[in-house]
This record gives sequence, C-alpha cells and structure tokens, in this order.
Amino acid sequence: MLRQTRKRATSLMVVLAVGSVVAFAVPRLAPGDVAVTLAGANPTPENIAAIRERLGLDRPEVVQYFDWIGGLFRGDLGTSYLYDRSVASLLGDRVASTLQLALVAALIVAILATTLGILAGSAQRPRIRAALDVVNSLFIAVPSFLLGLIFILAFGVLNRWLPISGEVSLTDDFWVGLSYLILPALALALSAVGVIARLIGTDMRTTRREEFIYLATSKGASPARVTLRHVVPNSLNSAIVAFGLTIGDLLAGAIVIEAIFNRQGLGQLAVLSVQSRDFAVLQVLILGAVVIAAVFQIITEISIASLDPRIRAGGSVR
Amino acid sequence: MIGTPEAPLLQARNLSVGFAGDRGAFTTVVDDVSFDIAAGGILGVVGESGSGKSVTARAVLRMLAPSASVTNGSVLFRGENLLEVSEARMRSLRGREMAMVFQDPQSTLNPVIRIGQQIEEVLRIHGADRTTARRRTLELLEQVGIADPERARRRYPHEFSGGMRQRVVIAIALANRPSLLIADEPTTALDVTVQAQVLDLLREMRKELGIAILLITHDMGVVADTCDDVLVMHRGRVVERGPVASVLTKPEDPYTSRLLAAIPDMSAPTRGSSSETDGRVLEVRDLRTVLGGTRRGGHVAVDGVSLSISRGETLGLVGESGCGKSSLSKTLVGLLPAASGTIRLHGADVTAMNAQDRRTLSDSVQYVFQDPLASLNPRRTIAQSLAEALETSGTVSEEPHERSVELLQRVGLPPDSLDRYPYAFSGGQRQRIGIARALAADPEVLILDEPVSALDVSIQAQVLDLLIELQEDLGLGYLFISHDLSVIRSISHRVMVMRAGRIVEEGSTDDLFDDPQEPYTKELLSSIPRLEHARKTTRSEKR
Amino acid sequence: MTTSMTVAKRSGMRGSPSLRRYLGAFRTPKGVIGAAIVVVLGLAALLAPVIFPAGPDVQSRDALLGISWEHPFGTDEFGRDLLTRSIFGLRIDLLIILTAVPISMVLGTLLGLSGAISERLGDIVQRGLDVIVGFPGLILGICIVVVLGAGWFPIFLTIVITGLPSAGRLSRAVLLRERDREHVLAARVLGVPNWKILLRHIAPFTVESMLVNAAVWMVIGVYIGAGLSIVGLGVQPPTPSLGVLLNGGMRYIYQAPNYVLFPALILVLIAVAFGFVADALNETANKR
Repeated sequence: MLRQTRKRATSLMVVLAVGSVVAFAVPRLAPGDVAVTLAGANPTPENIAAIRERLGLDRPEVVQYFDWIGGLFRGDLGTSYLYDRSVASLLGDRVASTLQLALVAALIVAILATTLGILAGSAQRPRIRAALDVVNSLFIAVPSFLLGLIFILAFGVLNRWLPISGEVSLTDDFWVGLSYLILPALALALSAVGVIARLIGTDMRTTRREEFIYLATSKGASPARVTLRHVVPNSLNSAIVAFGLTIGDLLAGAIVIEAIFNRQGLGQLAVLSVQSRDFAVLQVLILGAVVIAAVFQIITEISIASLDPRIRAGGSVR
Repeated sequence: MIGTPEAPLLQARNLSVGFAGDRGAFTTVVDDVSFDIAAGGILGVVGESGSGKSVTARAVLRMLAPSASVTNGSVLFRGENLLEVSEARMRSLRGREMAMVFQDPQSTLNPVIRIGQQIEEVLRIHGADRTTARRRTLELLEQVGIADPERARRRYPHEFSGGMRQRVVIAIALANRPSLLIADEPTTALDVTVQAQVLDLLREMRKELGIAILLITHDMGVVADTCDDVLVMHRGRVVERGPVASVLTKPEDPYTSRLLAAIPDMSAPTRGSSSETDGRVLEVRDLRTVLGGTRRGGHVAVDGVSLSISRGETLGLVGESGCGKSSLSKTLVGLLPAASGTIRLHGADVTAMNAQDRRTLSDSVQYVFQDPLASLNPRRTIAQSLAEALETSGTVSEEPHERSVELLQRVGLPPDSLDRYPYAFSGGQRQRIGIARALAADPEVLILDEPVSALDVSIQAQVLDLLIELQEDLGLGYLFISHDLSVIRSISHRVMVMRAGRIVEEGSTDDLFDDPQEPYTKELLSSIPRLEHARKTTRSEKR
Repeated sequence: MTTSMTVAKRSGMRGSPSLRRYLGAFRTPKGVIGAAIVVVLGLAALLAPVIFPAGPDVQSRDALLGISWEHPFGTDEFGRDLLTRSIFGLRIDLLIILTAVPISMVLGTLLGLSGAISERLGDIVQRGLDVIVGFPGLILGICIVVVLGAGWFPIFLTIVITGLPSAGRLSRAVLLRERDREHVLAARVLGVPNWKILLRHIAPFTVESMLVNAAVWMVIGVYIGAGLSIVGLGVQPPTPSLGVLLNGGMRYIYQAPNYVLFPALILVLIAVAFGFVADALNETANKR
C-alpha cells in the first residue's frame, strides 16, 4: 500500500509539473503579440515596449515561468491583461457559479446513476432490461450541450416553464437559484449518468454469475439481500473510477453549458480569455483544471482501495 | 442401501433438466435421473464433464442457472416436493435443512466481506441474534479445524489458502445443522494432501452429526474412499447405481467398467527402469530460478535442481501446486531466465539462452503445454499452426502440407483437421495437435507440463497410450510433469518428487512407489484415495 | 468445466471465429438501427454536392423563416436554406471524425504495443498517455485552439490526441494479457522470431477492442467537434458545420427555434446512431 501511494504521489507530481508547463507555454505559442493588442489605438514601438516591460514580458521565458510558479505558491495568481484586475478576484467572481453547477450536477450523477444502475443490474424481465438499456444508450450518446439545447427549447422556448438564461446564486435565494440550475445541471449530468449506470449494470450482471453469489443463495438469502449485500459491493469498482473521471468531464462540459445557458462562470471566462489572448487568466484556468482532475483521480483510487480489502493488502483484484 | 427402513431423506424421481441455447435450441443435460439418499448416508455421483452431475445437484436446491429449467420429475425432501414449493419455502430450507459446498474455494467466498461475517450471515438469515451468531461462528471455525478462531474470523478470504477457504465454506454449510449436505466437487481444486484432510472432515461430520451427503465428483478414488452408495452418470443418464463395494468390484454397465479401467491402477506393473542407454540428451546441474525480479528479493521457485533426461526414457516429476515444477520446465526451454546453474544439451552449455543457444535447444527439445485450448492460437487454423512450427524448425525438406499431414497421422488425426480452427476439436484432440506441433521439429526430448491434467479420465488414458507409443517408435525422451501420482506411476521409468523448489526424493518408479524413503513422499502416497484399498474394505470399517 | 459450457459448443463450425461474430453484431435491434442511421446520414452527407448542387451559401432575402415546403428546415439570418447547410455541416463534421478517429486508434494501438519492444519504452509511453488523460477533452481542445487559432484542424488534432490514451491502454492490456498466454509461449519455445509473434499472435487480438473503441470515439468526436464549434472555437463561419449552425441559432432562439432545433436533432441522431453501433459491438465482444 505504501509503495502504491509513493508511485501515485510521483505520478501526480509529474502531471502537475507537465500541466504547469503546458499551461504556461500554450498561450505563449499563440500567434500575435499581446502587447500589440493592448497598445490598441497607439501601437508605437515605445508604447509596445513599455507595455511589455510593465507586464514583465521582456524577460526570458524561463524566468517568467518560475516567477509565475513562485507567485502561485505565494497565493498570487497574477494579473489579468485585459481587465487589469487580479486573476484571483476574477476567478472569485465566477467560481461560485461554476462550483454550484458542478456540485449539483455531481449530486444528480451520484444519485441517479446508482439508482438506474442497480435497477438495470437487477431487472429480470428482458423487456425492462431492454428499455433501461436503450435509455442508458441515449444518455451516453447525446452530448450534454445538445441535451441542454433541447431542454432550452422544450422548457424555455416552446413552453415557458423554467428560466433558461442567467442565474441566481443558491446562497441568495435557494429555490429560485435552483430553478436556474436545474436544467443546466441535469443536461451536464445525464451523460455521466448513462455511462456510470451502464457500468454498474454490466458489472452487476457479471458479478451475479460468480460462485459466491450462488453460495449466498444457498444460505437462504432473499434476492434483495443477495443484490444489496453481495452483488452491489463487488460491482462498484469501475463505476467509482468513472465517477472520478467524470468530474473532469463535468468541468469541461460546463464550459459549453455555461455558454448556452448564459451563466457567468469559469467556462465563460475561459472562452473570453482565449478570444482575447489573456495569458494570465488562461494559465491559471488550465492549470486549475488539471489539478482538479488529478486530485479527483487520487480520491477515486483511495475510495477503491478502502472498499476492496485485497487492494489494501497490496495485491490486485483476482 | 444403508440406513433404517424408514423413507429416505431425499428421493429424486425421473428428474430431467435442460438448457435453452441460442436461437431456441433446447438441450437436455439431465435425463430421467432417479436416486435415494437415506438419512446419514453418503451418496457419490460420479461422471466425467458433461455428464450432468453438477446440474442434478443444483436442481435439488433449485439453484440452476437462469437459462436452465426442470422439464420433468420430482425431488422429495422428507415427503415435500422441492420442485413445487414456493420460493419462500425454498429459502427457508436452504442454509438450514440443506446446504451446499462448492468446487472452487477461490471464487466461492465474497472477497470483500470478512469470513466471520460470512458465516454469521447464514445464522442471522435463519433467525439467530448477533451474540448467538458470533458464538456459534467461533464454535464452527474450531470444529472445521481452523486455528485461532478469534483472529481468523476477522480475516478476508484472500488471506487464506485454498484448503482453509474450503473449510470455511464447510463451516457455513454446517452452521444450522442441516440434514443434507450437497458437495459439488469439493476437493477437485485442492492439492492431494489437502484433499485428504477435507474428505476426512466430511466423514467426521457425518459420524458426529448424522448429516447425509450428496457428493459429486469425477474421481472414482474419492467415491471409493468416502461413499456408501454410488450413482454413475453418463451424458445425463444414470448408467449404474448401487453400493460402492459391489459397483466398484463388479460393475455391470460397460461405461462404468471403462471408467474404472481408465484409472491408472496403483497395483498394475510399472514400466520398470529403462535400459540404460547412454543417450543423455539434457543435463541440468544445480539450477536456480528466481521469480519476481531481484528488486524486493524475489521468490526462489527452483532451488538447486539437478537432473538428466535420456533418449527413450521418461523422467516423471511430481509435486503439488507451487512446488516449482512449472518454473523448472519453463527455465529449461528459456521461457524463464536461470539465476544460476547449468543446462547442457549434448554437452554444450546453453544456460545463457542467447539466440544461438535457443536455436540449438529448439532443435532437440520441445514442449507440450497443459491446456490444449490455450496453447493453440484460436484464430489460426491447424494448418497455420503446424506450418509455423515447421518453418521455424528448419526441417522443411518436403512440402509443409505433406509433412503436416504426416504429423497429424502420427498422432491419430485425419488430414481434414488442417483447415479447421481449434474450437472445433475436443480437448483430447487438441492435445494431440499440441503433441504433433511439438514433433514438427523432430526433437529428441519432449518436456510435457501437466499434459493430461485438463482431460477427462478416459481421454487421459488414450493420450498416455499415444505418448508411450511415440516414445517407443521414435526413441523420444520425456520429462513428464504432473501432480497426479497415478499418472506418473503409469508412464515413468524414473521419478523425482519436488517440494518448495527442491528435489526431495528420486529413484526408479518401482523403488519410489513401493518403498518411499522420505516422509513427504510417504505423505503424498498415502493421501491418494485408493481404489483397490476400498475394494477390500467392508461397510463396518467405513463407519 | 461447467456443463453449460460443454453443451453449448461442438456444432462443427467452420470459418474464422472473429469475423462472423462481428457481423453477428448487426443482427441485434440496436445494431441494425444504428448502422442504418449511420449509412443513411453518411450517404446524405457524401452526396450533398449532388443533392444540393447550389451549395450551402446561397443567400436570399427570406431570413429566419420557419418550416415551409421550400425550406423544410427554415432559413438562417442571411436567408440561406438550413436544410442544405445542415447536410453540408454534417458532411464536414463526418469528414473530420471519420479521418481523425481511425488515425487516433491505429496510432494509439501502435503506441500501446510499443511495450513489446522494451519494457522501459512501454512504461514511458504509458506515462505520457496518462498525462494526456489528465487533460479533459475540451480543455485540450481549447489549448490547441489557442496555439493554432480556430478552425477544423484543432478539432481534428484534439480528437486524435484525446483518443490515443484509450487505444494505447487497450492494446497494452492485450499485449500484457496475450504475452503470457500459452500459445504465445508455445511460439517462443518453437523459436519463432519476436516480430512474427507480435504480428501473428498478439496484434490480431487488438483488432476487436480497437473496433469497439473506435465506435465509442466517434460519439466523442461528435461531442468535441460540435462543442468547440458551438462556442466559436471550432469550424469558422461561413463554412457550415452543425456546431456553427448551433452557435448561430442560439442568437435567434426565440424568433426561430427551428434554427437550433434541426441541427441539434441531426447531431443527436448521428451521435445516438454511433452509440448504438458501439453498444452492439461491445455486447458481441463480451459474449464469449
């Protein structure tokens, strides 16, 4: 177990290091010169040089990199070129919006996927199984923003039942805020629900054929007991891994969802920064995404280990 | 039948079970089977794979796979027809009045629940409260011979060996003091010594608790040792039944006779020692093989083994699982690197196993694997697999097609086998193809790693006969590896016993089997369920 | 050896076991429906220049019309026929996906098999692939757009790169699994050279998982392509792609909901169709 944690820790370090380099390098590889854009109406060479000096762009790249990294450790996320505000405050404005969206979506995924998955894995009659299966397929295949668009059309345009543009924070007014959140969160969540429910269902069906399930039946256990105490705990591995990866996808999907539901979140900020070449913001966003994805990967691995005693002992499954 | 003249505990009449296959095909796997089990009696159901014995056992508990269904018959348990009662009633009987022990201890226990809890579960399901359940669990663990029950109950299945896990499964079965125990091949997956212990345990349980046992097995020896009555099944039908003593000594049905004849008889004459030809092909000195790399101190699988194989002679290597015999054979052909020691082929040192060494080696030494299905590429035809063997051996004098046909005929297979894929053949036939492939290079020595262990008993005999014939015709030397003492005895000239990477004893077959010196060898030999021993035993002795 | 196994076999079948199984995938209802939709839409996209010889850029003064016989999907803000633009959009999207995904799968499989050359190489490649996994798809897409500017090429590149880890992991799993199988050991004992073993005994087993994975990745390709385009970072107008149409349609969603609705439906249709095909293949692969 210790050896594995060490391996994971080094892996994490590598991912973070590479992520930071990529986050730093990518914006700078873009064509065009930020200083020129910012000089705006008066692009005289002196102006441009002055802007460069002000932003620290005249120093060698490596120095800029380490300066940035140093800043990160000190809690200084940099200053946006476009808005001339600290990146931290820009993020702060929008983080709540994206966070609420992601959390509600994640909650929906956890609850719906487990329910749907267990149902799919327990259904005996072939018609019900087939129906659940098709529902899953639909969830998996349809991209989240398309679902979002369809929701918008169905619930906001053709029938005006729910708000489809803008937002209200949950902390300001819970129920109104929720009414703004429910459509985007649902759209974001359903793809993952399909994937995870299917994994649970398939794993459960495989587990049911294992010998120890027959042993449980031979003890006189009721079907419910067999399912909940024996089948399900052994069928959650792939689902948990998928859930960990889902967080990364939720964040990525949030970008598009925020755009179409007109929410002022981090995703919108990302798109704006790309269009305006605001390195400072982009760097932090990219690195942030990588960090979060990596952290969730580790959390999932820990959860799996805590559920399966064989992995705790340092061995592997089967 | 033994037992009192009252009605038998279990009465099966005209039981038939079938499977629904793809596209509506329905196959009958159990056909009109009837039998009785008296209270406290042990009935053995013996047959080869596909005989329907396992399905019969599961049908009694109504635990068939979803695609199977009972098409006819009744199963009366104390007068109640189990096939007609409600599922709720079955649930109350399972684990309480009737219990089951399964074949593979590795997969029978839930891997993520502690074993104490798994035993307690069967008690709690049938009404015990937590304290009673815990107490009884400790009692049971002791009863089945697991040391230190307090600590054991907090462990997980993967922390136990196969034999111990099987004891846990037995403990679960016995928890509520059932009247009937159904044991489906309970010892097949275990080593011979462990098998003996588990069978002893079952017999003891019958003596102390009066439990009736329905024992499913493919091993006649187990039946002879343990059962009162026996049922012989073949292709879903009962071909013979009766008390063990009479069926085993005076079988009436020809299939039964064939089954009995196919078992290598431990009292039959051996092949004697070989005429000491000086055709020493392979010489191994102090070979050491270490598995798992040297980083964390690997596991020494082969610890200083020396042996020699000569033309025309079979050296049998016997040992239980984990003794290192597979690692040894793999090292000899270069599939594992040798840590130290020497391997000499006709005097030339090939231990390094570089390209040149391997070529020299593969000309003279070939390998036959255990699992005939796995050792042939399922996506290539037999012709392609044989052609591959021929082209690498370099002996492509004639047309490869002709030579392939020749090889197939040598092992008794028709030429039209060439265009087919492995899945179209039976296990025995596939093994013959494996042997044919090994012969393609025209070797002097064959290393055979458990070549018949995956085959049914009657097929085993055929393949062994083929091997003996080939040895006599072609003067091949064999290193024959197996865990099955009776098979080793019937084919070897000399025998080596291996344990924990070392050779414990060696000698000619006669010497080793008739007069073993080492305690481990003696233990191995005494663990084999003996057929002829049972023939002489009377009923009273077995109680 | 359970009885059900022994009973189910032995019908004297001939022919390669794998190909027949995959064709069998298309006998399930999902497989049929999925394949049918893919074929129909694919043909429509392929024959677009023939069916709509005028092309997707014919402007007119009938802007933002609803459904009519002349314009079954309506028109956009420049009076261009949406049906034509949708089919041409589909054409571009499919072109991108149908080139990017196979390249990604093959490249990824080769990378995964690199472990056969040396353990170290295999390990290094895996670490590299792990890093890619650490970047969620759209994020990577955005990074690429930043460097290369918007357009169809970033979409193409993103799909190729994000597909590598899954293909690489699958083929590596096959390598590790098959390497210790007895038929590979048998070939080694016979003295068959390593490259031949790789080609004959290991590579064929990667084809299965590669096919299934490819179908899954088609769905993801649709997602990435449309996702980037809808936020304006993918294919650029006036070139139509379904995502571009969605981007445009969002602005007029109240006046002309059909502008968004129909391209969305086509995207949903093609994604679901690929999804069904992937499922059908997956189920067949698991039915050993």
